[in-house]
Amino acid sequence: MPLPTLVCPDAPGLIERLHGRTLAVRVDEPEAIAGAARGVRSSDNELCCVICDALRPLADLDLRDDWDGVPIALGVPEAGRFRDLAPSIPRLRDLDLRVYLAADRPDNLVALRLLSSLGVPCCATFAGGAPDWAALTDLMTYALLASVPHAPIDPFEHIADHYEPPFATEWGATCFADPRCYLHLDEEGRVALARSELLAGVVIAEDVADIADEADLVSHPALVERAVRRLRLFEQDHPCARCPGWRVCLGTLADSLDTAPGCAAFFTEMLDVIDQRRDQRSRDREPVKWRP
Amino acid sequence: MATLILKATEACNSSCAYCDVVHKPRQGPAQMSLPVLERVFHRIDEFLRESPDEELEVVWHGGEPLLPGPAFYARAVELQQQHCAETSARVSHSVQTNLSLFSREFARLFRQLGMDCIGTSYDPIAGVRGPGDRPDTAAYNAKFMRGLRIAEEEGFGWGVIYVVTKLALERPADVFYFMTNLKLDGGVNFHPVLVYGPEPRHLAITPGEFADFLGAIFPVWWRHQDRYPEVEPFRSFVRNAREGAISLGCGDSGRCSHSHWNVAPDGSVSHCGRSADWGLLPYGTVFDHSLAEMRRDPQRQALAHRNEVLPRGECQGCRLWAICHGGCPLDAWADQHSFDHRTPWCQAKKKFVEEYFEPITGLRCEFDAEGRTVQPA
Ligand SMILES: C[S@@+](CC[C@H](N)C(=O)[O-])C[C@H]1O[C@@H](n2cnc3c(N)ncnc32)[C@H](O)[C@@H]1O
Ligand code: SF4
Ligand code: SF4
Ligand code: SF4
Repeated sequence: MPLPTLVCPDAPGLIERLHGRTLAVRVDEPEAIAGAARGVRSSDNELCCVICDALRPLADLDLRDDWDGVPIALGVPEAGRFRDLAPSIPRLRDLDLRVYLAADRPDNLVALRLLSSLGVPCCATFAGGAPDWAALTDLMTYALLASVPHAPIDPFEHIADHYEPPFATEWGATCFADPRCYLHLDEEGRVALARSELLAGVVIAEDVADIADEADLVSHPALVERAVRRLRLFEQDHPCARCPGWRVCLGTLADSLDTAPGCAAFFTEMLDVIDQRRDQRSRDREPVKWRP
Repeated sequence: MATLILKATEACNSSCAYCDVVHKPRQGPAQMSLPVLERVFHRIDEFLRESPDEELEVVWHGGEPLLPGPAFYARAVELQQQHCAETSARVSHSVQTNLSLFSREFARLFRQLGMDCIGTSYDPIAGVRGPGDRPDTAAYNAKFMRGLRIAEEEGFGWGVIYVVTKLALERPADVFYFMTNLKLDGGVNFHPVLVYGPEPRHLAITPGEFADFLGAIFPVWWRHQDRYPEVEPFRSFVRNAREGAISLGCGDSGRCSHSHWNVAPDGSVSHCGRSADWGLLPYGTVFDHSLAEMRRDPQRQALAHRNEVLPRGECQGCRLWAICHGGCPLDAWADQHSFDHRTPWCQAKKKFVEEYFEPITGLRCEFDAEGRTVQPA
């Protein structure tokens, strides 16, 4: 297992202390994106991307010239009016940027589809609200089956690419929520397995130097506990344990089941859509062409 | 392969509602003593020396076979090294355990015995498996999952038996998804619960109900075999229908008459676990007879005789004969107090094949006397 990417704040003191790591730097303002990227690139660490959760709609953001060449994970609350966004589409397409939108707002599902159809990579996030599962199913089906060119919509694309039956697929990494791929640091260098845990002060190490290599992490009780948490769903006969969609969800939304009970049908449908996509692709490889 | 079922103990730390082993009155000692264990390894060596072409599988069974503790298995490792120095390459081991006591120490010892896979049992439905008069499923589940995690961390593969009870009939899909989610890459085996007396009535099912349970989940499995690879009895039905009668459990093979011994904790030998539970087919003890002698025991003829009687009687003309052979002789005995009958589960097999398997798969289950598939003209 490669050592995870460190998601850290744009804190020069911290970044200078780190050596030979891959960093995803989190900034509060879109204006800080380019500077944060420069900061990492001038250290002896590698830049994975800059993460920015902007508070304004995508259409209202200034897609700055200094974003060129910077990998950006851009979270926005909504896309905004398409009329305002339309002029920015070519620029959005040129940038190395992925737009993150919460799936629990119906207008965001429309926006995700639109952005994808216009060639802008994007990702739906599940932050605990109740999505419109039928609309989300349409979006997922479009993302995975539509034959017209469109940019990937994660996590669907990620799941479809990584799912190898009969084994299960984790997709937390698409939104930096898989501790095997991403660890979260605060300004002091304390380490948490998830951003929510970092914000709640639940850390697994007081200093990032304590997680120097893979071995420190693999056997870490907190990571073991995460695996146990999954088995506990079986132990408790939790609805996730008997969910037909388990293989591509693994109970990721278990905590929001009361508010969002449509997930099982959604992920079950996704399994079938992935099968269909594979069939479609294997057929596409040998196109039958017209002959005189 | 010759199969020696070794009941390391008849005691159990669980008290599953359907389990005959723990609910029947016990006569001999619960746990196998070390002298009996030593004698068993001596007998294994003797048997394999006399039969250079044979291999032998030891199936550690119970009760709960982990109950005697790691020291017992450490001794088994020593005894095998001591007594089977030249024959141990032809001895393999497997275990059927509830996993609740599994530990890293057991993992190390099982590896020394050459095991890389563990058989276990589970049921998520509350009140079926667990310790106590009213099985404490929560306590059981926690220990089971702990054992399972250790087994997986230690690199063991595993397979799991799910016993279908009345309670499962209400929710076949839940049970199927639960078990196949728990064991993603297959190795789930559905068996009907066998209830011989009046109790536990609330768990008993009919053969028809078992067929309907299988029929309810079979279409999902059939459609998505890459998702749920090894699920029994489905995989075997498909394999047999396509390739001829090649995948048969002991109860369907018609061949168990000369392949099995069951050694009880006191060293007495019977045919299998079930015959031992009912005091049938006693072949002697490991102290007074060799395994070869007990394999020649004339009582075994009664089992072999079945293969002559049934095709001329109750199973005459049955197109499933080659994959059924009248079912497990002990099931027949439980029903009719004679081996010369087919089992009541005959009905389950036929119903599943005719009403579900064949219409859904389009495959035909018909075999000639040699077990080759016969396709209709
Ligand atoms: C007797 S147990 C012994 C091994 C171990 N204690 C276990 O539970 O796996 C062997 C198997 O028999 C199954 N079993 C017990 N009672 C049964 C019954 N009445 N009908 C069908 N299977 C039964 C158990 O579920 C288990 O899978
Ligand atoms: S889809 Fe819903 S019910 Fe199924 S595993 Fe995920 S969170 Fe649980
Ligand atoms: S764990 Fe096994 S032996 Fe023990 S009561 Fe349950 S089925 Fe019977
Ligand atoms: S299915 Fe019934 S009739 Fe046919 S062989 Fe089996 S027990 Fe006999």
